[in-house]
Amino acid sequence: MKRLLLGTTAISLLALSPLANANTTIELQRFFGACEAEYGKATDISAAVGECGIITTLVNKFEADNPDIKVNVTTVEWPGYDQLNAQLASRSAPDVVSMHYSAMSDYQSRGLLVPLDDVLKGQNIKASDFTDAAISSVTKENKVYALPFDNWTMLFHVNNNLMKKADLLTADGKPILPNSSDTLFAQGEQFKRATNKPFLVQISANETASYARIFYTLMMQQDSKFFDDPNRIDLSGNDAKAALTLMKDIVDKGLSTQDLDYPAAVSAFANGDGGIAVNGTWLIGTYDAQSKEPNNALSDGYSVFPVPQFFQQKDATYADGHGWVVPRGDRTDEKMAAIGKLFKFFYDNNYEWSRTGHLPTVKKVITSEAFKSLPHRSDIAKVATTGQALPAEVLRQFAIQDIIGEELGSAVNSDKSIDDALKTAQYRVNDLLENI
Amino acid sequence: MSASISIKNITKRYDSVTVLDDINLHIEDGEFVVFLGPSGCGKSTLLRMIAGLESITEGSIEIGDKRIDTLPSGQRGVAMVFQSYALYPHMTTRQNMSFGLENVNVAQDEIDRRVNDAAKILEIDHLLDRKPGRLSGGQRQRVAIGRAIVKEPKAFLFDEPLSNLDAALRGRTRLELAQLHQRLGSTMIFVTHDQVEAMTLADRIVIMHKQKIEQIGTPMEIYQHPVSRFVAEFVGSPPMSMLPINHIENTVDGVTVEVSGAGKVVTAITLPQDFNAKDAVIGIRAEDTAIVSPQEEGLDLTIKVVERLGDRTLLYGTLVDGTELIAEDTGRSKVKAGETVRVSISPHAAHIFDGNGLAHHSQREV
Amino acid sequence: MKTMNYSPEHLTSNRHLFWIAAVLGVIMMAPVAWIIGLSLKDNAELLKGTEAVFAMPYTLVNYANILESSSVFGWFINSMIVAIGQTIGVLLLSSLAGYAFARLEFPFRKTLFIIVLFGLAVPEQAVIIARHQMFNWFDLHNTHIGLILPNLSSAFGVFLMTQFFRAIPKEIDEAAMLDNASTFRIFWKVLLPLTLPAQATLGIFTFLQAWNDYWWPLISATKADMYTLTIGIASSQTNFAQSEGLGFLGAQAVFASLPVVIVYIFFQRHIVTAVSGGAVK
Repeated sequence: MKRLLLGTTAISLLALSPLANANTTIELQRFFGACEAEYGKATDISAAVGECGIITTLVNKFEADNPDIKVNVTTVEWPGYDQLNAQLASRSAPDVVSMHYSAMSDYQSRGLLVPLDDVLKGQNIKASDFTDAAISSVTKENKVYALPFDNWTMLFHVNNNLMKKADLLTADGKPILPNSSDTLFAQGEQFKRATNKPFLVQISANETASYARIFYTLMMQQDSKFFDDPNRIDLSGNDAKAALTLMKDIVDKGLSTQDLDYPAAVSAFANGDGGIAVNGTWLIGTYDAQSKEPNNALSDGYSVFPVPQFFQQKDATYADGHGWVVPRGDRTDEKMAAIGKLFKFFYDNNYEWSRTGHLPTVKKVITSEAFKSLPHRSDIAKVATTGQALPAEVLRQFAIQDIIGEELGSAVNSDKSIDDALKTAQYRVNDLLENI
Repeated sequence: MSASISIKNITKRYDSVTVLDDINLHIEDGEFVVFLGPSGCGKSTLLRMIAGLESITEGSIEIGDKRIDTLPSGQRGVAMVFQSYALYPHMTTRQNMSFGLENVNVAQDEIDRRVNDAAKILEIDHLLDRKPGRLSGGQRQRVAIGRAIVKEPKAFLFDEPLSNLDAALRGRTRLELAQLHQRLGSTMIFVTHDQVEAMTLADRIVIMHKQKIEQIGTPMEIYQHPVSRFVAEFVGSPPMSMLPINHIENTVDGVTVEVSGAGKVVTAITLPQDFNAKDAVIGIRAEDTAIVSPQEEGLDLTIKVVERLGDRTLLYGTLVDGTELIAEDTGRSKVKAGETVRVSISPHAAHIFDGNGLAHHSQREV
Repeated sequence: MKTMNYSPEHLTSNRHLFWIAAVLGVIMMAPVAWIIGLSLKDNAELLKGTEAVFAMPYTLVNYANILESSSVFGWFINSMIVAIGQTIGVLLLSSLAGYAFARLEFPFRKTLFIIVLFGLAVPEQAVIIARHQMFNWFDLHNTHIGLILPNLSSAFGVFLMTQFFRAIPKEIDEAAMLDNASTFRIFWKVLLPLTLPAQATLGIFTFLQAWNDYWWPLISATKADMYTLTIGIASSQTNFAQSEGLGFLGAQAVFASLPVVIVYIFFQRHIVTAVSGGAVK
């Protein structure tokens, strides 16, 4: 009875003075999927696994810690930009949205993103707290437009068991990776002779993104200025030709798997069908878990490294990443403060997110013991400094990636000559950028 | 219940095309009238105007003393049986018959009574729960008639209702329709292009031709005294033979005409002074001819086709100059195609048509 | 109406046809069987290789995971509301419009009909931005009405129903007019029941199209509780579902297609008629 009375009083108070309601709701829109069944109520972050599990638990925990803030999560199909565009058009954009660094310029250049410098400053977060790879990707015109959440890149996932068979392990059991195109071909031949399997496991069917990512990496390693003018791509130089020639030679010399789509490439490596999988950061956890189980191709024989330096000019690798942006909209100071709290919470838990396999963006996490003790992370930590994005001003990076991937793919598969492919790619990209 | 129908000065035009031109017709209460004519003569249009399915350009229609051409179809008190029957395919026989009554809020027990009575008369009471898809053509026809009967209309309108039936069924249904008319005593209008139906069913036949009424009369009047060459040729099977007249000679009993290929034919017809002899013809029905012995007087007919009908034999032949003539012989005729026979013509039965198609008949009854 | 003979003797009497049909059937069924197989396997096992589909053990855990997500039922209901609402709306409007075009005399009838037919040639892509803007003005996004409304103007439906009404002999209307039925009663009690085969065809196509619709719901229903099943299921896929969650993906596909399968089972006869084009009997 007493409880009922109290409840009634509370309700009537609420009804009388809506202003007394201090609750703030943050509309958060993200990809990474839904996993309510497993993590719907979980708040133990350290127990969560995988992108979906960790982000879901993070939000749950934040809500538990901040009872006055409600985070209303909307999951969207990856990458969710159609939906976001529609929301922006109808002025119903959410408060916080997950966004690839490579997509940000499209929104920022049209003034659709809110600069976050003040929000971060309010939480005592400084730009210098983040890794170069991360903060440079989210900084446009000297303003920070996203809370950098992670960096991801293509890596060399290595099957040590097969490498051993090919005599490509050092005495202390580390794989000997190529450090130039010549060593790559030599080792590839050696590997093939010993195992009768291709050296590299690459994604080459149904998806062209990996062509573009590898190409960007090879260009960056030559310190190429192919986007010197962010409104024009320049693929006419020898650097582009060298990069593509290398990619094509790998296939022509039989050093790579062929015709595998993404899932097939993932399982081909898991089944020991090749020595090195050229694939993303996100697979570390999966392969590492497999290597700890007995009686499979990766048992006790998995390691992972950044894509080696094939050109001498620069140690670089193309990296993208996920950040949290705040779309343009009317928000109260109260809400912006709540968003700041949420961002601080994400920042504080950057380590937990790095357990997904993605690289952390917070410097002190990279150097922390906890991160280094995660499997293989010390081997790839340098991506935080060598990781490089396309120039922040380049628009339509998703579309550009498609065009380049498509054209390079047709050169690698000998449907087009190298010159022809580069010329067409350049023409199509510039045509796209001119007609925005 | 039943009522007379008056059609006054009805004209129907579609844009510049005239379909019916100043039609006047009075149909007595209880009369069975058949509109007969070739297709396109406007007979169906006239019927549909009575039903309210076609608008009227000029004129009026009355049923009883009430003008009805301004009323919607459903309120004219007429029932129609369509050529295609137009039963509602998704309704049972009973529902088909009761639909119209439900629409005018007849009490349910009254509906049941009328439907059951009509079904009994038409011998379709065992089909009441079937849908049209499971009925034969004849059965559908009966249901269509039943749907009309239950409405107890002032007049029944039939639009070529027998044309979708096979020959045997058509003959039987014709008879039943005649009986139905006797039994109900209702005013009925029946549209057909089949002269046999017209002859057997009608109290009066209305012959329509070229947007106009050509002749109104009892079947026998129409048959024996066609007002025009058109009527004479349209009514009667086989059609009346038409022989071109070369010369006319007046005699006391009538005129003697000279027919090409046949020589002189004596008739009992008196022609007026202003007779238009140009393109005039003499018309002879097959039954008004007879095959006689070669010694007797007559025309020589070379037979092309022999049509044996059992009770009589029709001989299709040509006269010496190629003019066609149809003659009749007895059922036991031995005449074969290719033979030449002598044909005599009954002088009183011939008809003369002037150049305008206007008919002149013998004054004496045959 | 031509009757089909499905007896085995009849089918096998034309051996070539039988084998062609059998091969085509297998080709069409293979992906379905494959996806059902995937849905019954553990995700981790599939990651190593999809040939695992052919071996024990099988599990229902993927289906359990779908059902445990509390949002799925909401999305399912949304899809149902949208699909059924659209179906009823399209049937109603197309029937009325079809009747009007086939039977009523009104000014500009032919012109209007041609304009409607032009609608068949206008792709959704051409109008979607303007439509999105309009719905924004009227504040219709994230509502069931907003999801149902755009597809109610079905050019195909109007065309189909017009043709169907035209195919009904005019004498049926005339008989009903003589039976003193009002225009509406003729439409409702006499003609509409006769269009049932067309209604079934149009209804099934509309339902399937609405159920599978993706693009408009994607940009109109941007709030998770307004998602239709297609959007909801897509949104709940993790980024690497195609490798790490293949079994779950399969289960989602099977789950989402269940209503379609049910519709097919119930309306099989009408679908066959619809597809074979012999809608008028």
